[in-house]
Amino acid sequence: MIRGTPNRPRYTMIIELDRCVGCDACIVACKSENAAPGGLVYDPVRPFETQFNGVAKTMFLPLLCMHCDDAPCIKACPSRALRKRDDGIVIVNEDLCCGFRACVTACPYGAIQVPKEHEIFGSGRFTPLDRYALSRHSLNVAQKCNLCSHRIDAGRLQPACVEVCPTECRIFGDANDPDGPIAKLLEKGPAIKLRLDAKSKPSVSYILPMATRGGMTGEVPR
Amino acid sequence: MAKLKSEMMREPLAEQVVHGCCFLCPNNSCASLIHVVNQKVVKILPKMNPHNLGKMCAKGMSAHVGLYSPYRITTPLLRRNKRKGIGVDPEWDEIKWGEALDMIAERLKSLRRTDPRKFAFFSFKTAHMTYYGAFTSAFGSPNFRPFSASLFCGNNVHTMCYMVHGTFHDAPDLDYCKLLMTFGTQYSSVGGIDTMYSAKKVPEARRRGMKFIVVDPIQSPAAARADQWVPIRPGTDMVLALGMVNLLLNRYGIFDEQFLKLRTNAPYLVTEGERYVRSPENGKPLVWDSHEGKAKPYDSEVGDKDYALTGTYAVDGLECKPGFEIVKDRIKKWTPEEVERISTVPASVVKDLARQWGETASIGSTISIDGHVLPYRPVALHWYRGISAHKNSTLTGFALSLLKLVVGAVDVPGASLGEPYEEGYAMEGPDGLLTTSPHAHGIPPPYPPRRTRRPETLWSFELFPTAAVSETMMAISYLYPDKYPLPYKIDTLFNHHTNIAKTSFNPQQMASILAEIPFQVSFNFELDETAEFADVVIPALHNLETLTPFGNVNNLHPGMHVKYFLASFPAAKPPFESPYDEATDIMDYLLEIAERADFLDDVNSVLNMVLRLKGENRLDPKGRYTWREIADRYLRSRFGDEHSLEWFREHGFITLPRKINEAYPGAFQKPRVPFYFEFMARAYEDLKTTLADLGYREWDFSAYKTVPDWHPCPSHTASDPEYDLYLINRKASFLNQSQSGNNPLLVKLAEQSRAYDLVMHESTAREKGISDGDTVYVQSLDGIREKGRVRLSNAIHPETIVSTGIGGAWAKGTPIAEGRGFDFNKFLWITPDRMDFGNGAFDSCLKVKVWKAQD
Repeated sequence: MIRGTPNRPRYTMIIELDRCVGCDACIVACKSENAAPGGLVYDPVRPFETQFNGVAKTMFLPLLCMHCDDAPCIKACPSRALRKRDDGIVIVNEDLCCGFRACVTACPYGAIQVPKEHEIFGSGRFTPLDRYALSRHSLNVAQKCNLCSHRIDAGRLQPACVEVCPTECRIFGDANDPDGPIAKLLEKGPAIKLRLDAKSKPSVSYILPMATRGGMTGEVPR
Repeated sequence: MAKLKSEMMREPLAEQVVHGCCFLCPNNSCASLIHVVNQKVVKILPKMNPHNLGKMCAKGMSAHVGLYSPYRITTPLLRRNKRKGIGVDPEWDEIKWGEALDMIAERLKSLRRTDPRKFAFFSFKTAHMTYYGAFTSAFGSPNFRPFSASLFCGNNVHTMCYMVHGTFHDAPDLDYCKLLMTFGTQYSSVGGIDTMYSAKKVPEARRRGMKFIVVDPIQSPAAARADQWVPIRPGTDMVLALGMVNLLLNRYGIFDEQFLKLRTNAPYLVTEGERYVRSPENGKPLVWDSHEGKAKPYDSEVGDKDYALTGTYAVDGLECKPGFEIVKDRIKKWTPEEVERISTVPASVVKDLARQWGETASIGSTISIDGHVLPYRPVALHWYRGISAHKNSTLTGFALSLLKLVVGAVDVPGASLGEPYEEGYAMEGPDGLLTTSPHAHGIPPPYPPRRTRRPETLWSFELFPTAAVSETMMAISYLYPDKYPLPYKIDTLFNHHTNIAKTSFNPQQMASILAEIPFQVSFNFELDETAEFADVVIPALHNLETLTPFGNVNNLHPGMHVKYFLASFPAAKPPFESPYDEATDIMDYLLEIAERADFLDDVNSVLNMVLRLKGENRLDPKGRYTWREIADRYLRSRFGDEHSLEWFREHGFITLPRKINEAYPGAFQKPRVPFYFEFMARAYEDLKTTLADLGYREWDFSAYKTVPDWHPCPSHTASDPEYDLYLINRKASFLNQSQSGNNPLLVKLAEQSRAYDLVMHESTAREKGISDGDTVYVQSLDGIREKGRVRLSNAIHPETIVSTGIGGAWAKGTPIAEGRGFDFNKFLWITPDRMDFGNGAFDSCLKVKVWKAQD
């Protein structure tokens, strides 16, 4: 955590995996809030199964743009459509994007998509919702999670996915605020980051169930 | 439409924001803010309020995808093909609105002259059940019900909640609870009642130290986030509860003596014949005063400590024991080892659960809330469909209730609390036991048992003296009329917001019933399976196009939370022209039909009664009101004249304070609750006589027990070793109730998380040569067979195979849903031996064999 820069916020998100129940409310809120066209999803939730103390455990992994500090997508983009804002949010400017897909390849997290019409619209019959989405976005250009920067800029406190999350497993805040929710959460237990091997310095982090609750019992009978 | 400044965003287009409410599940009615751009709903987000706490599920937030479905019906339709069945083309003709409504009205007019009971109306739009019920009873029929939901939803939940709490539901006191144990429900993982409230509050409570234990054959998302998951063989939850009660009473000696003596009938003296010993003077049940050494009526002066709970006594030469002694003795056989044999829950786990339960209950402790010192029992129990939909449903409910009662964890801080509860709901009934005000929830309470009589309703509710619902009996009567005669057959059926053809039980069986109903009207926004059986289809307004004055009928969070009531406003215009452009609800169509069929005056009169309209807000029976006007009068009557529809349009909802005796009635109310179910013996005698008089020869009385005892479901006694797995069903939060099936966004979510797949234990699958992603056949002992794709897991009971949601849609009008998912309902072949004759629950765990499909 970077301290001592109170005037410059650095927005990020921590996800507590002991809370996520895989309800997908975040996906739907994100799609509506950002008018993501057709079947496009910026923040998928991946179910998986693991073991804690020999006990099988169903988990859900909410994914989104990791808003990397050394973002490979920005480096890869030939048209400078991607940039890191001062507040830490990596945003894409669809107007500048030429659909080259270098960012898609560069991103270690699969967080960027360049949707083609036939990939995201099934029947070919556009509903009013599809038309609204297409008034807000272009096809064949890069799209991804912008951490609801339009909400942050408008003075709203949270991205849509954070606001609606029923179990409040997503914590959003300013990593530079020593009294903020991010700092408070990090005091409780260590957070991990995904794919550190890619050396992209991801900003988004996760708290494992073991860190907060010490696992679970529940042996399956033989 | 009101603009809410706080909700305005820096968006490229100006928005309007409307106060809405979601009606896509029966449990909640979450308040929402509906964002409208250029007269189109583009976004639904939750509204901060005391009920859904600013949270909403995937389904509710994607309701506008359904609103703009290209498959919506936009004109009334008339069936040309007289043949009805699955896959039969109705051959629709588009007709004029006036023609459709006149045709319906003419039918009703003549039916009302002959036998109005033959009209039935099925709908599970919970916020509208009062209104649709009023329409039906004004017509002269007792037959308004949700129907399919009542086959296997809360059959043993509602009955027990009425008996123990005086309410329709119960919910844990998440503010003070220290140990929450749930059975057969996904409560807290965006499932079950109080969906969003529990999803937010359970993790919060865990953070402050509450332990959460989930008993479920499959590790549901709720169980996965719990502290302890207890995998159990389906349908055996009762023995786990009885085993825990046995340990508490007979081994650990942990029970709330004071509570049992003063708040239950445990001290009532009972004879060998399972009846109370009654006072010869006033007929009241007697208790034994151990201080004075004599029997006295239960309500006479007895010192708190002096009620005898154990021992054998002689009263007027009659040997008798307190009910407590009988229960204590009868459950001795439920040793931890015996529990393990039947349920597969290891004996050590049974002991541990019982000890945790007993110790955490902190019997004798108190807590101070708002200056009131109240009993503190921070253990709560909650259960739902998973353990209700079984042959032994009634007695399972009794057994789990004992677990609450033995530690006094009823309606006090930290415990299970009745919901929704308002002052005056719980009253003292016969023999000092709790009964519920008939006004409270619109269902006659199960205690005192209702006198049985010749059936008047289609589902022979009159033969289910202690049930809350009994719709399964209608299906049985249609299918097995020789043994279980129908009082009469349906002539005209209305249906809205419930897809009974697909969601009830085996569709072929349901189709054979529907094909027999001569005239069916479906108010529908898509041509779903039920609409395919209709004679007339009326385009329904989508929830986002309707006005609902009182959205949250079932949801008043228990504990010290404000009472809250919301109204929901239309945010869009329907995509069709009708002569009723001002229509804001299906009720507008129904009022029009009632007027054309000459019974509008009766509808107005019944609405006056059920909405409790007062003073100037009462409807003139001769008047013709729009739904908007009636909604306005309803709100003013309920909340005072200043709280008009316009007030709610601006504010969305109203909150009212809750008194401490409404929050924790257990610390205040006097009526006792049943620990020994003596009245079941009396109900049995009464029912037996009635059935003999009516000529019924076969009836299963196994639910009529005074002390819960295990009896197996048909699946437990199946002996063919090839049929070695239990097929069970669960919901996914985004695939909950069939309306989600044709929503492309929810379908995508379901596909991404493999919710359409069957789930099987890895080791079971390995033995059968099945790998992850394989297609398998599942076949029941009835010979019903269905194909499905399998997902392997270690987080599931190895004896089970689990399907999620309701697949098998066939309607041509819902092509996105068509053919997706596993058709679980196909396996629910209705036979009398699978029904619990106590509460109408239909058993939905089946023994199946599973093999890899080679084709």
